[in-house]
Amino acid sequence: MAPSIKRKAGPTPVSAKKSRKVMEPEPESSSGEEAYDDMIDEEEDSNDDDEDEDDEEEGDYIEGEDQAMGSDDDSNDDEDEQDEFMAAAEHDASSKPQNSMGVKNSSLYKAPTNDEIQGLQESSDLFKSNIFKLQIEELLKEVQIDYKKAQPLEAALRKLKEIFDRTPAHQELSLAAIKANMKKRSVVIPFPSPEPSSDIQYTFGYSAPSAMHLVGSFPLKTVSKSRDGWSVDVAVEMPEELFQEKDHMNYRYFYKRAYYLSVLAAAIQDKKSGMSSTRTEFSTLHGDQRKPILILHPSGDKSATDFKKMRCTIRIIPYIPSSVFPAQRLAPGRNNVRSADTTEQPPTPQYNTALQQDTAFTSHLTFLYQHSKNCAAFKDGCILLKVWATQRGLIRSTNEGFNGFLLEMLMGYLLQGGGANGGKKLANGFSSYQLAKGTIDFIAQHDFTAHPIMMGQQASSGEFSKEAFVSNFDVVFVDSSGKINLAGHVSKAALDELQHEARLAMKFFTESSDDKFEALFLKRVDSPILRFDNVIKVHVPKNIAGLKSYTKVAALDYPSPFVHFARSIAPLLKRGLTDRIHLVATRYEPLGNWATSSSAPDFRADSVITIGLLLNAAECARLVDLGPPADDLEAANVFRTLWGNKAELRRFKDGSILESAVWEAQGMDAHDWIHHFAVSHDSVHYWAGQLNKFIQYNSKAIPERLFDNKVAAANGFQTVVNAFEALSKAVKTAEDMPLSVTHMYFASPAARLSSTFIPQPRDFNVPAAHFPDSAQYVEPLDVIIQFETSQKWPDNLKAIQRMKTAFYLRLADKIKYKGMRATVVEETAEHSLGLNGYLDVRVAPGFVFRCRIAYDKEITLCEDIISDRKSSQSLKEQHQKALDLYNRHFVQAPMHTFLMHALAHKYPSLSQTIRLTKRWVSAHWLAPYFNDEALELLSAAVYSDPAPWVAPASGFAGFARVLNLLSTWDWKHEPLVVDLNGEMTAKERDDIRHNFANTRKNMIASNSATSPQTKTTSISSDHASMFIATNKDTFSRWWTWQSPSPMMVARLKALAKTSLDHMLKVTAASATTSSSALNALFITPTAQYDVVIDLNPAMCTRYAQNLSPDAQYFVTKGDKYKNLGTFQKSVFGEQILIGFDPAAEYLAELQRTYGDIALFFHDRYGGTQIGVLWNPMALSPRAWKVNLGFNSKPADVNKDGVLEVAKELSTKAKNGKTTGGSKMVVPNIEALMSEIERIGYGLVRSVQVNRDPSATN
Amino acid sequence: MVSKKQKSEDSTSAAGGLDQISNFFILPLHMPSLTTTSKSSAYKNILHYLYFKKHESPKEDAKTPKNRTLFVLNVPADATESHLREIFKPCGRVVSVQFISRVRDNNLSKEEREQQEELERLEKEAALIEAQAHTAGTKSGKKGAKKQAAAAVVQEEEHRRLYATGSQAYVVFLEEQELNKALAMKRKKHSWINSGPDASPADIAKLTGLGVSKWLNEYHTRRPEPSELQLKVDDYMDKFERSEYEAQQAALARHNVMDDDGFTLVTRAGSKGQNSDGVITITAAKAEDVKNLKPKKKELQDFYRFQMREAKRDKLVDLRRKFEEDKLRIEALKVNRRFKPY
Repeated sequence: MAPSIKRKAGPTPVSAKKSRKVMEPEPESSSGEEAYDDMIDEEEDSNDDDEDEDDEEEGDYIEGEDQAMGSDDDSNDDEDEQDEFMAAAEHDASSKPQNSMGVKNSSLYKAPTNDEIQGLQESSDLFKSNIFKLQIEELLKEVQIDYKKAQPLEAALRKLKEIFDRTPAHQELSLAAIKANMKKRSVVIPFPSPEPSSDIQYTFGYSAPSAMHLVGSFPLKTVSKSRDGWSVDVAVEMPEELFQEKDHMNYRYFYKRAYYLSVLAAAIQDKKSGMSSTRTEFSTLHGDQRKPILILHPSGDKSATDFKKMRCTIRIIPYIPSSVFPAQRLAPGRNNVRSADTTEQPPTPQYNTALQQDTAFTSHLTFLYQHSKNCAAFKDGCILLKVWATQRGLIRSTNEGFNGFLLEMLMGYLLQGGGANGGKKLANGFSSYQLAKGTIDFIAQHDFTAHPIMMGQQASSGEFSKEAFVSNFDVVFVDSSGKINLAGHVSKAALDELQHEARLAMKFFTESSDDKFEALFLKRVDSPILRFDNVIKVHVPKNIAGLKSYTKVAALDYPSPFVHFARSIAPLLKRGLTDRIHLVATRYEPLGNWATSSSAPDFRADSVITIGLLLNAAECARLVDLGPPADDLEAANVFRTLWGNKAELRRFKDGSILESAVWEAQGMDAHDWIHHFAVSHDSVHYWAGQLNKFIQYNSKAIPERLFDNKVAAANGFQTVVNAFEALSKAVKTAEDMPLSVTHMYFASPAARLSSTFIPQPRDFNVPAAHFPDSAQYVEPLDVIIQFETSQKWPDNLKAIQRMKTAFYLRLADKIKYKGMRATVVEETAEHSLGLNGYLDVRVAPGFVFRCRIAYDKEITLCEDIISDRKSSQSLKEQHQKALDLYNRHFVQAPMHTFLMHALAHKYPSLSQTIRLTKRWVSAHWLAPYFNDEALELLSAAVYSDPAPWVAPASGFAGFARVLNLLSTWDWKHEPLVVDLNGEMTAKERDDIRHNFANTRKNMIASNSATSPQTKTTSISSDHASMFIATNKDTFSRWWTWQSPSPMMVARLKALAKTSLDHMLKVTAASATTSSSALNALFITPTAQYDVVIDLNPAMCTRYAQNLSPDAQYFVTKGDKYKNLGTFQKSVFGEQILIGFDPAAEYLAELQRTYGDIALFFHDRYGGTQIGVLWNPMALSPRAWKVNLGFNSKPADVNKDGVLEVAKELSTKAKNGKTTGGSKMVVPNIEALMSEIERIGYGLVRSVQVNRDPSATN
Repeated sequence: MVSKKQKSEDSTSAAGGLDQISNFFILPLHMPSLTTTSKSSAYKNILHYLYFKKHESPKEDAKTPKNRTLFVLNVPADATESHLREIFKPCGRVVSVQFISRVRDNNLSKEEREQQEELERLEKEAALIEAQAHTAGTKSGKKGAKKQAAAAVVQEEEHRRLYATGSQAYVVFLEEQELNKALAMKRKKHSWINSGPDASPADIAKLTGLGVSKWLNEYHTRRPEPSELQLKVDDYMDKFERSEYEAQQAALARHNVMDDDGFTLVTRAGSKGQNSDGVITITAAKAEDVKNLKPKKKELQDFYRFQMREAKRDKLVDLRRKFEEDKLRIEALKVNRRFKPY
């Protein structure tokens, strides 16, 4: 697709040479040819350099800067250039329209201008590709704000200053006095917890701010709109004289700050202020409860200061100049919070940075502003970076995470350092794309622990040394003053998450074969169940403050026990889960804003923390965790404290005695770490295996004697594979065969680990009567046999089929002696030319393999007839059908099996995802319209191209992603490309896109060509309305060509959307939810069907697979003989029937008989109902004719079968009118229903007519 | 013409005869309602409508003789010969019933359809003869044959075929008067099956070939005794080889033989892709071999100045085209408002 694929997202340094060259004045007379030469020279240069410097962006910043200077000079606003180029091209084209080459070609072949060459070149060098660049431009337009509308905002800001200045100053009021004062003005001072005690001696005061500054992204023009809107930050400098020397201690600064803020709030709310109609709220700065801020919402009164049109809020942030407190006192290792409860004075780094950061707003702004001046694309780069981070939920308003400001600072830092060998990582001449990518690359690769970022002068020792920072903070990112850790509040878990996302993003950036713009910037990806493999919801215990882990010492730096708790989850989980997981991420709802008249909220005791786990697919199912050896007392102790009573000493095979922890079940167990937090079981909800029960036999209703889920789960698909091996051996060594067998392929869904149910052996020695009829079904498994080549086969398709039968007979006879009973089955009529007959072989311990012989000559025979001009159209069609059948069955299916099998081994959870998907589709009665293979490919798509996430490692996440894919994919405009083996080339992708475009073109053409009358053709002419292509099937030819129809695709999409919404709702619910809430995913609404046919479960051989079967169909008759385990004689006879399912037979019969006028829906897995929808086109009254095609009745017949208007009509006829009345017919729905009942005689229990469309007509 | 038809319609309906639609008589049939539940009362008294008229065809066909054949439309999907025989029994003696299934051979030409029908007939006969031969050893004489024929009819009932909804049939009467009698049928209650309390065993039997028993039957029919199947296969292969041999002989006979006018028609003999007059044999190259042939030596690249120039120009054109395509794609995406991240 993207024409740019082959070009690398090259680094810029090369263009230094080029841009200089381009600047050289070119003589006007230079011919087009010379210009070509020039361009190509450059191309070659750049290509060479590209090769050398791929992925080496860090190295050559000097050259890069060089280039930047160059391009700075010649207006590096590439947009303008492009426009000019386009305008020129258009002009050129319009000036000579007579050109025989056509307008488009002439503009393509005209001599290039230098500008144009540079423009084209630039987008491939500076940006990944043209399309990427164009997309970025469009994106930026969407998220940038319009500064032209800022006038009312500026007026509001001026007004604010005026109000604050006007507010009378006062000094030295006691705590009681200010509380009373504020209460009068109905403002509750947002003191951070712990609240100041009433016996404090210091006093509070106010005087007009010594300065006010616009800070943050608004003045920098790096605002990016987001879902929650955006804000203008106003930093209000509190005068120095309000503070005393010791105010940095024990929250005194923060109390005074809170009071100052409430004075400002009260001033604005004052009726005389002129802005009292503005709604004000308190909030916290980056979720730090110590630092309340004031939020102003636009008044909406259309006054001069109403900034509603900007859709933003104003945030008022009080701060102090850095000179107020000596820097030394706030060094990371200092203690500034004393407590009566403890004599210890541990460092309070969180408290210290919180205060420090309040002193540096202006200096940081200056820093960023400097960069935005030097680097033209800095602003856009920041916006891109922020959009990327916002989409991933990385920018959030809880305290432990990152924020936009930090990312901007990081980019600023990288413009002056952070590169290899102490160089710069980014250069000023970079494009926005390169800046964002470079920053993300840095985040992805940088080892923040080993090399903390120190921007400015680095103190080698002392309180501001690297070591001091590292030992006190999770993440260190010290600003240029060398004293303030910008990322002091960030937790290690948040950094891990950011780095994980950054690594992922780099993969998308460098992926050459596909354009990942959408995944990078446009998709919102922070929904937990889609993003994580397992999701845990923890209800915070009520006694949270009393938890053992929340020590008095911890309380000094973390006044909120909730925040402390939330922060400590991730490290603990990481310790316990070790390499089972790749990532732990925690989330909780931020505090939000509160009205100035109410007191500051705190995290409620029943708050929910969401934990997301990304599993390591290879390790997560491990049963035993090994600890240290028993004689390492210290380590053993640590292990024991971590694992509690789970830890035990074990001796292992190799003789070592180790501490170990045994996991109860395969996979994760949420409860293992609970003892650490004293959280009760009920308040933890672990979303992981809740869907597994849907792909097992319902153990509540079905006795283990029939189907044992535990055994099946333990053995998996291995039992059936072993049975196949046995068969393969028997067949290959069969003696006296005219030809020897060279290959045996196992090509059923079970072979690719994707059959909805794990095949369970059926003991063939037990007579059928020992099974209830509703569990009689034995699934045959497809096997393909290939013989050595021989010249002796006949040259006639029909004769070949007979020959195969002869082979089946011989083979059946030969393997009989190896204990395998084989039955030759002869199919008649329907597949007369293609598949005809097969061999069912029973193999111990109880599987049936359906063997077919492949003979590749059939392909050539069919092709010969199809390409022969002499053969008739119908003959061609017949052979085309046979050829397709052959290809699908003997060529594509084994290939598909091979690829899917490999993929299922690469991604262990794929099997579950596929099985869930199949079950879900079938549960909604859509099984008749979707091939197994198509559903497998759909599921595989979620793994082969998991962007914007990583490939799921649990069936739960996999299934959620499939639903997400189905509910969002635009089948009309996009082909789904599934790269099964990861080897798809750009060319193949191009081909697929091309094929897709052609299919859609044809579809539209055929749609418009068919009139509404010919309803049947309009269905059959749509091809591949669900276009799923692989590199083995670039036309989407084999699995989704005929079916599903667009209507089915639309239905699937709607169902997927509802299901996903339900899943999101259930898992997001904060209340502990019962896992049965997910049952609704598999319950389909039946009301919209015209008719629902109810089948007798006792006659449905697959009823055991039903989602909620009734146990009465599986119990033995009569309690007396229970131990005999026999059922009354099977209605199907003594024999065990292979693949016999009356419901499926009935469905097929209905489709054959009524396929043109109705659609039939059914759950293949033990469904006992069939839904019918009449084709609305077929129902309308139409003129009678001989070849009508359905069971009809005259439109005006009465209920006794007499034409009512016959007489009336005859009089009309005399007037020459022949239309209407008894010339018209409608489908005879009642008679059709009667027929349908008779066809299903013995199986149909009742028929429920919901709607009779003919009655309304 | 129209008014004529109308008139006849008038007269028949007045006389208690059948209604007509476009020259076809409408025969209502009462259908059983087994289990349907619906609010509508229509499901209590279900009527199916057969349409029929005299068969008129420009071509004379022995199977559907003129003046004795009734063309019946809208046959129920589960119709059998005996169903239709029973309905028209009061009118006279029905010689044969032929069904025309609508969907099956939809896209076959007429000749092919005839061919296929012929084939089917032959197969049927062969099966009958085979069955007779089978029992010939044990029982002989007319009695045995008769019994066999009866068995075959029963077998046909068991292997019931379903017809796509709205199929057609020809009912052939023994004599012309009988046909006319059918055309002058009076309005009278005709039931397809008597369900309900007064259902006779015969009525119940009409259902036995349907549904579960039909599918079971089919299941077992598809799995014949190996010996039987072996016989069938051997027989087929014998015939096939014989016909192959005959065809080969015939071709050989024609091979390089001068006709009366002195021309020799050159035909192919021997295996495909090979031609021989007995002395010289010419074999066609195989597709794979052709593929593997070494490509001809290419002309030098980037040798002439014009080549380089053209290559450069093409490269630029390519760049431009891609740029244009990209812009178009972006436009398309823009229309769908695809750039709003939130």
